[in-house]
Amino acid sequence: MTTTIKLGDDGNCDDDNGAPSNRGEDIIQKQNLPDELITEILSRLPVKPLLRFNCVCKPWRALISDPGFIKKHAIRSIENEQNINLILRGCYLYSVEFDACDKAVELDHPLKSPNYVNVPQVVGSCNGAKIHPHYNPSARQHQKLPYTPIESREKGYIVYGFGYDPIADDYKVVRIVEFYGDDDDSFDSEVKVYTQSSNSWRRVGDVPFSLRYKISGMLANSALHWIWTVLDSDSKASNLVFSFDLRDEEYRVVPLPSFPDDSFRMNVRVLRGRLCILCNYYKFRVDIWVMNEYGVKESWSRQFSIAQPSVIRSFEYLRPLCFSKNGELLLEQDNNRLVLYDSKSERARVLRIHGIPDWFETEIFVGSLIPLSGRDGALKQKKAKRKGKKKKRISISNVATERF
Amino acid sequence: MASSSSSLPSPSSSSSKKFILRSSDGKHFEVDEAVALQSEMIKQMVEDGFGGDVIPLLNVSSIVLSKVIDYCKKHVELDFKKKMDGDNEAHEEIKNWDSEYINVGVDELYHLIMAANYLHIKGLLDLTCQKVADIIKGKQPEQIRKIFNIENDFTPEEEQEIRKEHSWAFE
Repeated sequence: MTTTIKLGDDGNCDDDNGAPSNRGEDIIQKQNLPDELITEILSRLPVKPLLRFNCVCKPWRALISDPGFIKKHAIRSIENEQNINLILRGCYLYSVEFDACDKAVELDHPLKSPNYVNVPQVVGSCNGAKIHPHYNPSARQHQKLPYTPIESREKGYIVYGFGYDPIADDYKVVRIVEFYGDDDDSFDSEVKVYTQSSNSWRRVGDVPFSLRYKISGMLANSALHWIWTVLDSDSKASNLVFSFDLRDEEYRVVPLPSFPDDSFRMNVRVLRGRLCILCNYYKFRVDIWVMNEYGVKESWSRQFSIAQPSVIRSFEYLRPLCFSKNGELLLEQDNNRLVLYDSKSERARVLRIHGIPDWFETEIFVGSLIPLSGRDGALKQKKAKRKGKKKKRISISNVATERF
Repeated sequence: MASSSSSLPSPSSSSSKKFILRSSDGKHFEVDEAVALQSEMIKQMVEDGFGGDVIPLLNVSSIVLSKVIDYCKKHVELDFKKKMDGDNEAHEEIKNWDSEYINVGVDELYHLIMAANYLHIKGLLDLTCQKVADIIKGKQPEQIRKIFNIENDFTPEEEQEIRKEHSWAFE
């Protein structure tokens, strides 16, 4: 590491050293905090102050941009569930620091423009870094993906997934396009994978069944998850959870628990990195099942069962997002409120945040300094930043908002 | 100022082994084995056969050591409670106790960080570093330089450039 923090050369104090301090915070003066402790302290900070502290001195700047430090910071944030941010997608994109939860701040993202009506869809985040379209909102970095045409036909439903392949050490974006024929029964698809290392798209195997909901894939265990609707021989539809593994790019069916009652609408989510099944017993309750050991059917457990109207007065649906420091579960209710649910007392309270829109979709991400430029270094990123905004907007918006 | 915890019913009292820790200013502290072994550094010394009659801790003063021992004692007790009573209650108690414990001035905080680092007490290091992080996270670079007594080695132009690069972080 290149950090020689100059602390405590005696007699080297600022001229207003003698000024009284009512906070008593300047007593670390004249003391020597070794480098490793400075690293320990800074790795516990949110992204915003870290960026600010870049200009404290050269050794701090070197530390804050050091890949080892960035990794340590990201891992600590994920493990300690710190630096969680919410992204609310309403008429604009807003971000909320979950630790503070004071106000929603409009995100100054690269697709923002007064004459641009679509709000980019947030596809996912991983390693505490990113949301699609390759954008790290906490460090305000972004990367434009190259355009790729839909080859098979002209129009279809498009969904995306975003994640990290730990074997290839590469970020990947998956695009699934579903086509429908003239009759309802025919089904066709086209799937492409973008890898950051190649900065290009390539075709992979088609999906064999139709996606139940045309929403972004849920990332858990280096695989993206969606729900398939499968018709059996009696034309009875059933739902399966399937995965697209980012490592070997294969589709697999995920084993599900034996539900005591299967009259629900199913969806998938991820909580604390674990795959969850939401069972919405419409107008009654939502059960949240968690797969504690990935791929093991027996490891599913029903962790929450949130009833209405006894716990939450009335809702169409709930989506779990993350846990608060006090262990409460944060839920998005009906796209118009955020609710904190305490499973011990079985109580829920509305989380009031100044400035949040009336209608929104919520995603969470962990604030990090991970650069988007990958192996090509910071140069590429800087170049991308300087390029004409208009050009960038067209191609990313193509990726991000085609659903709308 | 020697202190002893032997009169208190301690969860670790089944292990009657005691250690004597000597602070940098020569004061002796008798503690239970479980309390002493919260320190990875002492644990290592004992494993390497240096855990004789008195363990000298050259970098920790008696004032700081007594505070560190408070931490270790409480955590041995609470860890024991956690095992007995299950997770939730003890977890809550640890959190409350820690936040009360760490509510100290920065001078004391500094000495605790140094001691936690020297003695390799992970929990205490986490607690103290997090406290400093919480104190400094809302500060401006000038205040940081003052707190840590850091000399600004950027030219005004360089500093301006960096500020511009991350201008939103200064909002």
